[in-house]
Amino acid sequence: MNTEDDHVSLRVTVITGLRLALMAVCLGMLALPAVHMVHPLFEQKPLFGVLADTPCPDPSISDLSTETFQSGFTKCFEQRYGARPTATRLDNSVAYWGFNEMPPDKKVRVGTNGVLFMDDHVSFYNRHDEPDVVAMAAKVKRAQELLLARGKVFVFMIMPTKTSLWPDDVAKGWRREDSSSSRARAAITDRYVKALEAAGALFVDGRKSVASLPREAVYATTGRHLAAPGACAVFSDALALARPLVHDAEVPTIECNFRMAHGVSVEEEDFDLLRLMNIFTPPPSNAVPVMEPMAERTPRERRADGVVLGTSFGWKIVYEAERTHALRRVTYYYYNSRAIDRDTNKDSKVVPMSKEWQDLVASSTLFFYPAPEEYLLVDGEVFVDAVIGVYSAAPGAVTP
Amino acid sequence: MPFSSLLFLSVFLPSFLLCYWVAPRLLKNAVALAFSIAFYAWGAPRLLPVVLALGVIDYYLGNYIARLRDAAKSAAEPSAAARLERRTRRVLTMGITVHLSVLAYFKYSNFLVAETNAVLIHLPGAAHFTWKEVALPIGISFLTFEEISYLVDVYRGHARPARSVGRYLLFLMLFPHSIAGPIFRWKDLESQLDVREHSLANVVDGFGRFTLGLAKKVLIADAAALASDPIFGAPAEAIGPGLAWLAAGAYTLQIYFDFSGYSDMAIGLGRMAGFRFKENFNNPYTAASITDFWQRWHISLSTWMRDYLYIPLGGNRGGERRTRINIVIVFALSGFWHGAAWTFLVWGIFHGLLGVAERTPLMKRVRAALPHFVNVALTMLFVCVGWVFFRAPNMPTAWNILTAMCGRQATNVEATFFLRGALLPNQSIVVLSFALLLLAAPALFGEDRVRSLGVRVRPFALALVPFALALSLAQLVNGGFTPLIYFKF
Repeated sequence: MNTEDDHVSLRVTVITGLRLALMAVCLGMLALPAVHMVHPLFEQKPLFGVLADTPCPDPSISDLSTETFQSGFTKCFEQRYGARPTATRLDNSVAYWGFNEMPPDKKVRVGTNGVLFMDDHVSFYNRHDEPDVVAMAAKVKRAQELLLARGKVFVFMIMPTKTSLWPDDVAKGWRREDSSSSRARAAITDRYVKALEAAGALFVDGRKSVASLPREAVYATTGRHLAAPGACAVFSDALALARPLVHDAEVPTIECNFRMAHGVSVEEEDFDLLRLMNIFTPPPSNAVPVMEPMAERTPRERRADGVVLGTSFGWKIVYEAERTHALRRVTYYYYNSRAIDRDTNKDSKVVPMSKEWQDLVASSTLFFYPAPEEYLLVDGEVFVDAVIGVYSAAPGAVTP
Repeated sequence: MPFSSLLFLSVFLPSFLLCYWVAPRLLKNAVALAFSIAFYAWGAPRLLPVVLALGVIDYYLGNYIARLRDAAKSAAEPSAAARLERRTRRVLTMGITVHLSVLAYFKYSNFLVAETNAVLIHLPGAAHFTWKEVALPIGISFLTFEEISYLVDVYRGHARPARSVGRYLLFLMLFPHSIAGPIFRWKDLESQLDVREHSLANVVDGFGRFTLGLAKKVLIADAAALASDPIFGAPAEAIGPGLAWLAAGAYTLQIYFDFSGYSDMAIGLGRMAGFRFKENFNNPYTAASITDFWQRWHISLSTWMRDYLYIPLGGNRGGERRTRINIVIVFALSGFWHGAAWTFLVWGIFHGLLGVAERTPLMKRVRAALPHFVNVALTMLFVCVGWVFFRAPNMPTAWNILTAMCGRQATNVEATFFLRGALLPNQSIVVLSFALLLLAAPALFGEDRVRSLGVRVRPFALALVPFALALSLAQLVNGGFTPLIYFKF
């Protein structure tokens, strides 16, 4: 065999090898996720966020003939697809690192300067409806009166939303072109504040509470909810409002000291939007506020029991109440459906106006409702309506 | 089970390839048939017995037609030959009628009953039909045309009848093409059922072609759908000229990359099994006339229409007037073949009338006087307008989009805003710009140069296959599944 034949033979061998390698890689990519579903082959970091569970159907002749089984099985297969976490992170990472955005159907949005938003933040930015603020303010006032008559203080807290603080970082493409939204955006909270003032309601305009803070201390660029210093500032003002009205307990003043820190774990709340992006995440580089510990100022037995009402936005108030030792016992009444006792971590189902709900109200003195701007007049009516419903309809039905 | 579903990609395809490669040469057809039946049973279980039964009927009819034809040829008496010829034609007619009846029942009965009831409702005292909706089985339109072409080709003597039912069923149900084409002809595939090349080179090339098609569908067509789908689904008052043109333009890209991507996948799958399928697209958006467009778009359908409808109608042999009528009939039926809706019929007639207009001496002179790129641009414009009918769910929507394209302004600012907000992320803009460049390249630099460049870079392009596959899979997993457009036909 001469040299030329050797070259040809080598070339053929190399090409065949490359072809085999290519097919091995590609078929591996296709088949391994399915194999992994049956026999786990590799470790993958799970995805953040809730994925509704799709049950896998059992085969039957009738379901097969009507294609019910096929569609059910396909959904179940796709949800349990072996490479789902890796594939999702790859697609999101391409969109984020390549195009500075998230894929279209995701709830997290990348604003300018790397500020992350949720869909709801942006919806508020463009909100321009005109709800009946006067009627709602009157209801808040009425609920507060009914509770006050029973020695209880209910403080309504307007929590500033991210797009109120960072409007310039809302990408241009998301903004309504007409000017009505910016007017409405400012107007809806302002009108509500005026209506609450006119009604004489007990409330905190959180926008004023956080006005003196640097904006990174109110919202982390990567966070969904108010950061701890912002929550602390609003909570501090709420306690100040409640203090003179509570007679059988002490409401201490609290400190909201913090420092900005780098290198904080990505598991912390201020990175929740970053985690929800489900990208191949590098360690977070932005500084986030870290609260300084606060010593107990008032002995526990002299403090009042308190209930924090609301959605996930309430957690930060709960944490601040605990950090600052402002309350004796903290109960988180979550989404008007669950009461979480923070001392015992007991989580009970509590339906508004039920016996359990009435017991919860009866056993507490302070009630804080942190209402995010984006949900103003959308959220929070349940508790207010329940208070009015129970205590107006049957005064004295519950003995405070 | 579309080719772009995770179940197909992760379970069916690897299982098929493994079994097919491992199987000895003699059993490869059996493996292919078994997987094809399983594939069809999964997607259209209720039609499977119908398809199998029609396959068996076709097999016997085909052989019977061939025997009658041979007998007619060898008949000594002219009268006996004529009698046999008439009998052959009757058998053929019967076969075609059976297939068209099946198609009519599954595909058009819902539409006909609904339209009839819509008329009856205006007639005082007239009762309307009560009707249980018939589910449209996937691939029925393609199967019907393939079955008809088989019988006609055997009748014409262009093809030999199938030697066995299994061979005919494999032709009919071979899974790469059974649900959305390309439309096969028995005479093109028959010899490949006996002899085809099984090699690693074929497998690699086929897989590359398959991945190219998958990427076209998932990465490009689905990106275009992000713009077109919301606008075609939006209320008329939200749509102004900009959005309407965006919808039409995006859909023009979407349907090409969706359907040609599907054809690439089919051709690639066939190639992996050693089959050589004919090309179904040839740079259709560089066509300089509607006639040219139909020689480049869905070639297997347009050639079928030519051979089995246009020519039997008389083609261009009956004078100019008859030719024009034939063209409109063929395009109208072609449109209606795509779907049982007025929009498809109008789309077909629109193309038919454009085809007729191009034949007029005036238009011939105008076209000859215009530079090539202007002809290409005008053709694209008409094709793009035509796609509005094709995509719109009904005639009022098509009308809304078209009037907006002609300048009607949006009247609901809020609806327009929310529509705009949902459209075209940066990634889609980049991807669609790249797609436009791909489409325009043959027109800008010449088809031959682009083709030869393609041949030169092909070995290097194969190295990109794993990346394209990974990105497509990632998008499929993360973005959810969107069905292929031609699946509903």
